[in-house]
Amino acid sequence: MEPFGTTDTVFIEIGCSQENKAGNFVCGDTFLSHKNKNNSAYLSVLSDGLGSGIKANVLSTMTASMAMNFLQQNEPIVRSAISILNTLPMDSVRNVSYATFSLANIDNDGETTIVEFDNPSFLLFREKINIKPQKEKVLLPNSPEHRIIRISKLKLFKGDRIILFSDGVNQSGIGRNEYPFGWDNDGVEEFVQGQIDVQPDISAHDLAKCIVRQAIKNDRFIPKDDISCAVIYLRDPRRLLICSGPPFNNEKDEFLASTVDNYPGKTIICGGTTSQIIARELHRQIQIDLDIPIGDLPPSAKIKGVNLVTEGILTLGAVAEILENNPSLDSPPDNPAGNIVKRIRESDMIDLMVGTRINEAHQDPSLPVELEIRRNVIKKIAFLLEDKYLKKVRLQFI
Amino acid sequence: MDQKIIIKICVGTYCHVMGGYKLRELRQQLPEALQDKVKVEASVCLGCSTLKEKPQPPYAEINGKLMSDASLEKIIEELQKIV
Repeated sequence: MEPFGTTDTVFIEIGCSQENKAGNFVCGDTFLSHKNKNNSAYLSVLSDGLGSGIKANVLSTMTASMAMNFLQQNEPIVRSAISILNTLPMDSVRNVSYATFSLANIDNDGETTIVEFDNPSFLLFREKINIKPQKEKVLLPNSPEHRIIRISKLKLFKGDRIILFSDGVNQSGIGRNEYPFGWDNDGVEEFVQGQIDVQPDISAHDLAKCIVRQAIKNDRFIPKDDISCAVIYLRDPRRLLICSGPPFNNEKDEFLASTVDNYPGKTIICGGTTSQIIARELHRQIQIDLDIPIGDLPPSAKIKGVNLVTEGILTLGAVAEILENNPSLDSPPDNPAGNIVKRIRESDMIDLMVGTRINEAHQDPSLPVELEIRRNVIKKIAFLLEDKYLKKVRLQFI
Repeated sequence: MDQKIIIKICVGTYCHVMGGYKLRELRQQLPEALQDKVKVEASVCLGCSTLKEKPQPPYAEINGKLMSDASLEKIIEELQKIV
């Protein structure tokens, strides 16, 4: 196992924002992303269904999930695109395909393939510079309608952003005096350039949100089409260390304390004994704030240099429950567990350091069964973070 | 009395589960006569697991003296004795 916090790898953040066409309850665009566990490639699909409403939603969902399944099976991306186009029907009246799509496959080392079919062209920003990648146009075989897919092969580096959007974005504002032909690709490019100039490290999630908000504004707050934007951003990982449990051997106490003290990121300690060990080793005080409203969980505490100190097993159990039942993580409860979840949400790479010494005091048969074994709770959290939230997780038992 | 009585209540897992969460109300529950004479603090663990006998949580500590099976009533009674 690699040592905590020393490797300088790139993290791929994927953020998406969507708005329904005015009057619709569902979005006709679908965005899916997935991290392939076998080769740690990131897969993303944005599909725009013909029209809007339920029909468009079904069409785009079908297209996107089909694409995602192909890519997850390691089917080559171009062949996947061709299979989708050959399988999905055409609209008999308009003689166009039912759904457009953009597929992106980003390898662990930045090798990227993007295949587009009838979606607005993606944007690539390298730091602050807008790059126009070369695209290979391929006329689909066995396709009488001259359907063309565009293929881009790129090598991405840290600081790169790929921006995918549906035509609801570049056609927003169409017909207005300012935008007779809509916002247009040039307008979107200019806007993104402006955002990145002002805030060079804007997150994928925030940038996607800004673009969608501007498109809604262009439409005078009554969206004329479904509006979707997804941003893929390669950047330095934001790291978080969560320590829980005293080390099995107390010779390791010093190691635990110095790991916390020297960690290149945010730090959380869960557990009374653990925090006492770290405070003792670092010669610092533990301060507990009794003014926090009394809830189900014991209060959090403060140690200088540590971002958050909480009680152990009860709080971690509550964290696991939030992660399991609240997929958006948007408004975690205002308690120690909620505070941990907030930190987790703001991090990409999470190191879990778990002490394995058994707490003698917890071996009381009168204790409730909810007091689960620490290792099991942590393992559950690690699994949820990787599987559901696409975080990079490293687990170390000491 | 010049020096305040320092009382620590344990907010560790074991004590919390065994009823210690109620002790956090101590400051609000103190009789008026005691309000200025007592300083309520919290501790993440008062060390019950290192005791030789079977622990009887929740624990509190009054001026350095450990009290097992603590409750609001028991603490207040003890405080009144000291004052």
